[in-house]
Amino acid sequence: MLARNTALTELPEIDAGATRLQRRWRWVALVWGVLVAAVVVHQVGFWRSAHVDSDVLALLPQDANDRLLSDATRLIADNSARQVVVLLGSDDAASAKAAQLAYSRSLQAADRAGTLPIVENASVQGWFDQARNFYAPYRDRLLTEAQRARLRDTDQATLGQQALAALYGPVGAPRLTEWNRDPLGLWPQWWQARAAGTGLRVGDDGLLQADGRYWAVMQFQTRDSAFRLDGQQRIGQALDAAAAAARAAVPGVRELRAGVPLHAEAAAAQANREINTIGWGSLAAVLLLVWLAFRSLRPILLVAMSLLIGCATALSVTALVFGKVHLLTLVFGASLVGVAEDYGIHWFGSRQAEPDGSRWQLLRHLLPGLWLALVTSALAYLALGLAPFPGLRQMALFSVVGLAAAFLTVIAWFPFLDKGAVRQTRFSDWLGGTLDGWPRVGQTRRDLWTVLGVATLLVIGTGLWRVQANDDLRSLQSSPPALMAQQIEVGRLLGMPSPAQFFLVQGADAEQVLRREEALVARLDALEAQGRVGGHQAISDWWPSRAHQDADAALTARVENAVLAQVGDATGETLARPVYGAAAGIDAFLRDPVSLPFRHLWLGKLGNGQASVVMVDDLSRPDGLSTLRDQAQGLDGVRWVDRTADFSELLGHYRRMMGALLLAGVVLVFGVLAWRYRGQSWRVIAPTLLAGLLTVALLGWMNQPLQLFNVLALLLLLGMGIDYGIFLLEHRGDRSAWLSVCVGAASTWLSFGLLALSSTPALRAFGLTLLLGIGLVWLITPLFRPAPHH
Amino acid sequence: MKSFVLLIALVLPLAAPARAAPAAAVAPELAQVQQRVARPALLRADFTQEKQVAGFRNPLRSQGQFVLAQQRGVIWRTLKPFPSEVVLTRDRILSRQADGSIQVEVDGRQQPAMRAINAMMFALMSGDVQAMSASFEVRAELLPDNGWRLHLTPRSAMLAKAFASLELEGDRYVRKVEIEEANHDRTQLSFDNFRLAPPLDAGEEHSLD
Repeated sequence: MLARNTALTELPEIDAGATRLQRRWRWVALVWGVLVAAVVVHQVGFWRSAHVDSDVLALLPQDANDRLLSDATRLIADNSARQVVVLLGSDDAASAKAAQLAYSRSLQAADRAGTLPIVENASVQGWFDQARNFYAPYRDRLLTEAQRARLRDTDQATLGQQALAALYGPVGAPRLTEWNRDPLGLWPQWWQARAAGTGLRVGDDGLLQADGRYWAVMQFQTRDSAFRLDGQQRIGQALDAAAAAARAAVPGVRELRAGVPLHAEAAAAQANREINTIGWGSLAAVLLLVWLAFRSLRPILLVAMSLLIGCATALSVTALVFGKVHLLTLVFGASLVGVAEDYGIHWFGSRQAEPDGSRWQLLRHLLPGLWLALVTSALAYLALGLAPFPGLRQMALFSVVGLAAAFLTVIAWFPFLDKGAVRQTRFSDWLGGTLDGWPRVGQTRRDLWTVLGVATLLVIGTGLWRVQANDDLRSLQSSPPALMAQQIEVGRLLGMPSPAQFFLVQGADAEQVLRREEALVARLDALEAQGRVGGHQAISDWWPSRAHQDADAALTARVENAVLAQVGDATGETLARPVYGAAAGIDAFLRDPVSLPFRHLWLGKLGNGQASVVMVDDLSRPDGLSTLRDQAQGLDGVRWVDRTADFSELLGHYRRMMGALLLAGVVLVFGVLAWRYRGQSWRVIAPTLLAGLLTVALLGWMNQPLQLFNVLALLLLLGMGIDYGIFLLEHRGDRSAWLSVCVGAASTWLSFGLLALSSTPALRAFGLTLLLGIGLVWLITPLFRPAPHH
Repeated sequence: MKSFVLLIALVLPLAAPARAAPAAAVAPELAQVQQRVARPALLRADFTQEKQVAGFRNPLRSQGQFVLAQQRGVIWRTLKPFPSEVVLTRDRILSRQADGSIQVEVDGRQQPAMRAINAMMFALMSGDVQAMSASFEVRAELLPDNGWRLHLTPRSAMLAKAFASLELEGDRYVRKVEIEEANHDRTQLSFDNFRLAPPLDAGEEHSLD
């Protein structure tokens, strides 16, 4: 009342100011209109060719200290990004074959219908024939370690005898060439050793024998043109149909799938669902609250518009800055709806409180407060971007831009669009009135408050004691458990290497890399023979260093010439050793399609030199990782890389760093509050501190591990929770302030509550923390409000 | 990883899933052949072998003896022109030269699929039609005097990389084997002087362990 009277007496002057503002504001509205139109245009293009990213690695920081490592990891990940593997298992070979046939036919039918986003890879048989032809001229320079020892250490006459015996014997090992091209049968053994390293049990016609079953192995690659992450599981559906066909042909056939595209599809479908739940769910909740509070259509439409423009602008700017928007950013961004609605509601709340005031006067009156609210929220979100995680920076940018755009829509357009009167409603009266009945700490019954305080401290103390930190990288992983289980099983059956743990081999040139790799492989071979580690993949197994090749070529030439002479003498024949090809560098190998299956092992130019990776499989042995790590010791240019451990360490590092930042933030905020509110400042900070502590304690009681994302959520809680305290302190006993707090908190609480339903552990942790935190701040803040003015 | 699946193809040109063969229905002629072949616990015989190998003008001829012990293995002892010995067991193929040196030709313990080679050799030498049918398309022909002839062609493309065809002839025992390898090397074996005794001596027992 008092305020309104003052305003009336000053009317002429203020009116002049408001008119000036109104004139200037036309331009503001127009400029913002142009920007929004640009966003709309960009959005149309964005959704046509969605630049959406689902790779977990894209969320993680580039290793600032080791660019090479990041590049290597990226190259390895890219290689497997398009591969899909399917295994069909049955009790006997014939039914596995029959199932494979039915499976392939179903996929071929889908392909003809033009709906298949994957193609089956070239056949096994074709590759081997090609490889045999490619290697034939170099046969003399390819020896296994055992062969090298045998040729070096065995008496030449004995080798001759053995060759003769094999020649005259009834059966020898299988031979791949004419006899005089390989009198000692060395080449098949070399191939055998290549296969043995994988530990595979593959019998006739490429069926894998494992776990008492016969498995047909099928490999696919995605077609770029048809692979889109739009929430449709096209590959999954095509494979489902094929699996059904296989099951119809062979009941009881077991199907296993693996491959990055499957996970990407599943993640996209899941994110799609979650974005819908969180985004539309929060929007519906916000609009319901607006309807209850204002009971007319205009506020609903205008608030919805501010939110849609906010989200669209956030998406466009994020896409422009980062090139691609990550799925998790979208899921997280959907929760923004519950935060960005504040400005619109504030506008209508104020209009409701002063139904007769001029809109331009109101705008002038509201602007400083709204700016402050935007800046504090934006700062809280920007703090998320302090950690150098591209994923978090995306989320921070998305949120800040979204808030700013919603804010600008409210201040630039609402004064023009919101022309009618805003009604009083019974709901807003009732909700505003609840503040009067809310108890205050220390108001009465001091003994009761003491008991309550002690109980709270007890809950906090025991809960905090239960809290355990967990920095597992898997918190970012959201693949459906069934798909993960299949991925692991396929990996085990096929001996697929881990993309996150490998040896990085570097050298000045290709030859040095290969020689260093060979030193490492010799160690691995020895461990594999003892069964201490699984198999490995190394390009030097397929293309040895020049030094090794030349030594082996000299050795086989010497021994085979002698053997041929001896056999020739014994049989009275003239046997000539054929001429072999000249040595070739690894470039010749890499240029040939035969090297395709191994090309990912060769990183080529990396930093100032060349590099390769040696990949390992079956890391399930308890001491496997440490055994492997030890193998790099003492070898120049060889490094054991464990990206999972690196990233988990990084997550832990930033959890601690952001924890310290949170404490610093609390001190800073308290300092600012003490300067502004003096002896009353504890009323503002205590609710948020209590809520934060209680939240962590409750997480402890719920056996939720504390991770980086909980800490980040607490930072956000600090930024938002303080606002409620400020509001209630600034507007003592003001019902409309309490109404704004309630509506704002309720919608924020709802959207983070919905985020807590996400199947990505990190987002779940974030949502759960804020669900608890915002709810508690909302309940606790009025307890600490000062007595109303009299 | 693709590579490894691919590669297996090559490595085992001889490997055949004989062990795990389903008990396929046997054609009537095959069943007859199976009835005609004796399956003694121990069989000794003399052999002569003639091989035609690319790069050699003349065929390579050899003679010797073999012992087949069911469930245990085969000892193939070449006497002429060079003494040497090949021992086939379930796990591996070993060769032993006159100078006593031993060479492991195939080790099934390192490469279990290789056991299939042994299984197939067993089948060939003992006339086990059922086992042969697992890896080969078998065409049987009944001859007078309880005789028979089998014509074998590989069932799989992979086995076909090693063998073009095999032919076996016999009565109670296998008397003739002709193998044509995929590279057109050709081996002819004939067996005679079949004996069911004496039992394995100590040295033979040791070799087959």
